[in-house]
Amino acid sequence: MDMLAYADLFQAEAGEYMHTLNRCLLSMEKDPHNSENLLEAFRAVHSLKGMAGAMGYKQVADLAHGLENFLEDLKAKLFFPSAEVLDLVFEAVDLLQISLNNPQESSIKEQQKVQRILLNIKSFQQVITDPGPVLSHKPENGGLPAPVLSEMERELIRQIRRRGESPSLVRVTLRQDTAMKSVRSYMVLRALEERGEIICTMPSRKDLDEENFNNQFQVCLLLNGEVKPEQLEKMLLKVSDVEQATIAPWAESDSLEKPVEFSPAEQGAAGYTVSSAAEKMVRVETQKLDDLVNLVGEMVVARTHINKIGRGYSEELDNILDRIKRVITSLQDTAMKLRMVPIKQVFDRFPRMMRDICRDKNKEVRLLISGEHTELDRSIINQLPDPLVHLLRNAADHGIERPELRLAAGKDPVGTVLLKARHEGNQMVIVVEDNGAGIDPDIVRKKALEKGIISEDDAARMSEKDVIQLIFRSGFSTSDQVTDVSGRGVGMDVVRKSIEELHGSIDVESKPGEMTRFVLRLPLTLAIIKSLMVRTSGQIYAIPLELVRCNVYLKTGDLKTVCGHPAVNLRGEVIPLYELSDLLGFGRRKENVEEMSVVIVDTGGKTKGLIVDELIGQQEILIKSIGAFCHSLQGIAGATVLGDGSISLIVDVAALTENGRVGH
Amino acid sequence: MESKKGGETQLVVFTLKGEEFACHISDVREVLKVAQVTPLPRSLDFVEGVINLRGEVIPVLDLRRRFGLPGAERTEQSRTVIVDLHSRPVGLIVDSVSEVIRLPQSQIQETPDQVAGNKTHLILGVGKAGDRLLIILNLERILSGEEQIALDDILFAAREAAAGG
Repeated sequence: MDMLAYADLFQAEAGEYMHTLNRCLLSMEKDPHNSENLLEAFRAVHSLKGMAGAMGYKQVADLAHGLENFLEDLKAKLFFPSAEVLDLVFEAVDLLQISLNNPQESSIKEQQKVQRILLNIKSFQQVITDPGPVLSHKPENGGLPAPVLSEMERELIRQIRRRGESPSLVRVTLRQDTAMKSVRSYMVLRALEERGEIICTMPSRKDLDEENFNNQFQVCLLLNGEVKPEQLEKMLLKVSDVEQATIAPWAESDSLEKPVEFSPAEQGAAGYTVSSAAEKMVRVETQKLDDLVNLVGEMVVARTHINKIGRGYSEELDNILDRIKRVITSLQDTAMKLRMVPIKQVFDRFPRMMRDICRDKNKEVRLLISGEHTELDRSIINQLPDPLVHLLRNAADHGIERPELRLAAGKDPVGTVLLKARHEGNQMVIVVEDNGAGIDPDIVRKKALEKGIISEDDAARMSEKDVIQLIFRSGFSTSDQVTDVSGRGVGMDVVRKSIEELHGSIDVESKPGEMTRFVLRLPLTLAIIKSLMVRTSGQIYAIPLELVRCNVYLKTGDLKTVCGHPAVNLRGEVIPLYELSDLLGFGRRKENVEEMSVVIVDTGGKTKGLIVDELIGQQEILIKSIGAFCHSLQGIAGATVLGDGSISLIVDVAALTENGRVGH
Repeated sequence: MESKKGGETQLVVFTLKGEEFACHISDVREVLKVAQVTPLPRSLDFVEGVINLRGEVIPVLDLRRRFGLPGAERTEQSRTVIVDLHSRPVGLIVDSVSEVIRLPQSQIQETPDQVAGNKTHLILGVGKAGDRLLIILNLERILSGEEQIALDDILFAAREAAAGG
């Protein structure tokens, strides 16, 4: 079997397990007496081990195996891990991550590390002999411990397989409000017994009898030859209070010690109920979603067209056109929502990161996260981690002061970093705020002067608010020392640039001595953008609206020349002018018109004016990529199909004007 | 890829400046009349622009200009051949598309490995249909590179290939 085909799937799932693992360990650190986290961590490592083994990733499997044994001992001996033990586990998890990044090869150094960690773990395992205070093994919320097949049951399944038969997995969900769960489960089991041989149940029969389960249980069953699964499903549904019953072949992977994955990685405080939610989810290749969105967009365009032709012939036709319009609009909404994912995916990694930074820097920081369920387009989510990591690291490293300084300033020695996400109209707003030292405008002003970013005049003229914005300029970095936490000379300008690439914006506010707040605004999706349509050289071009500050009509007399380049003085600001057709390589317009249309754009912190032939208006457009041959294109960000089927190119203003014609 | 059926290959035959060229039918998605092309600014000179193919934006190249010839006037016979290049569609403007021809494998002379001029990588071989010579283009090579390709190079390579058989 070609394992490579599964490598991506493995990585995706492994990533989720690693998230779960990190989250559980962090909770254990805060609350070592809660066995729930330990159980969940154990299940995650166990699954990871199984998957890695199946893929033939030996190092990953070995490490996971060592870790699993260790966690199992903790679990069995009811040992509450000390900070020292947890550090070791964290180290092992990090090593696991490194191995995962490159599961097929590993350096000698890594292998030695793995051996050392495994040894350390072993030696700790021997230490765990003190049983400690007795703790109920049963989770408080009635959730299931990982179901484990006994050796006998596994042997039974092996025998059945040898006979050439295969067992089935019956999964039954009872209604949430079922009154007598034990009775219902008994009836289900009896019905099953009539039509086959029950090998085992998960949870055990005893737990079923004592109602020690949520509203879901599973049975490993050997069906009598003549019974069809569909019939059995129907029959089970007739048992009252049975909400759902499914029968599937017992998969090979199920025959590990743990037959059913009961811990979806996304499981949160909601605990066990999540597993039923997970069953409503389907994994879909993202390409298929993109295709769907594309096709729906096509339909929107086609609808506009048919509307134009068909409207007004008859009332009946008009009614149908209206109905189609409504359906297509909601179809478009639904399709766009499919691409949305909760920002939790990104936020989940930050608590661990913060912990490490704090340890490293001897800081005490509380990270508070809210709005992690806010949804955002997948394509944007993928670009978010880097800028957010940068902002959070800055907050912990430069923002929050050392505990002793905070105490001296009369503050809580533990600093707070807030990470908040929310929707605001058609935008996503992400706030990163710390209650640290704030940004001192005087230092920023001095620094900007030193680095030649602003002139003496500017420095005197600028308000404090404007001065703080200077941190986003390239070549600016306030920290004197380069630390490994907050990057090496890469500053806020990189953050700003990556946010702008997402068609978003970033602002900063600060009160010296009190707080610093970064506010990021992002569009909810990149597939559809608002743009200003303009005509030049006989073609219609789209300029993303978030770059457009305003449109102005200029007379020839308004033009000035600065260093040989045309410019205009607009309310005291000198703005260089470019002809769009010239930037695009179609040459300058020959005729000298009295009045010209100019689009004023803000891009990369600079303001520019684009002269066009005609302003057409605003429109929402669906962005499409241009096929092969166009990767070398500069100045074109994509294309869109207009209502009449013709193509309009989307102008990449920054690339056009930066790399464009210099010296005109 | 070649579509073989009983040792036969199907080729789509098109013309450029009176010469007959061909490509494997499995590489061709469809043949269209030349539609309205939106020019792509600052692109390679043989890139004619982009067209809307049922909602997909795909680039269109002028094959004449790819081979260093002046672009021809569009006529009633002009066609856009949509081919798959690395499973992405690309349109090629040609003077005309004449036919789909079945040739026995034996009538196709594959390119010899070493030929003077070293331009043989541009063609896959030469098909002989009666006294006609069909030059089977290596589209991947021709469309992926940015090097200058002259029509004479291709004709020369084709003659070498034909003579080699």
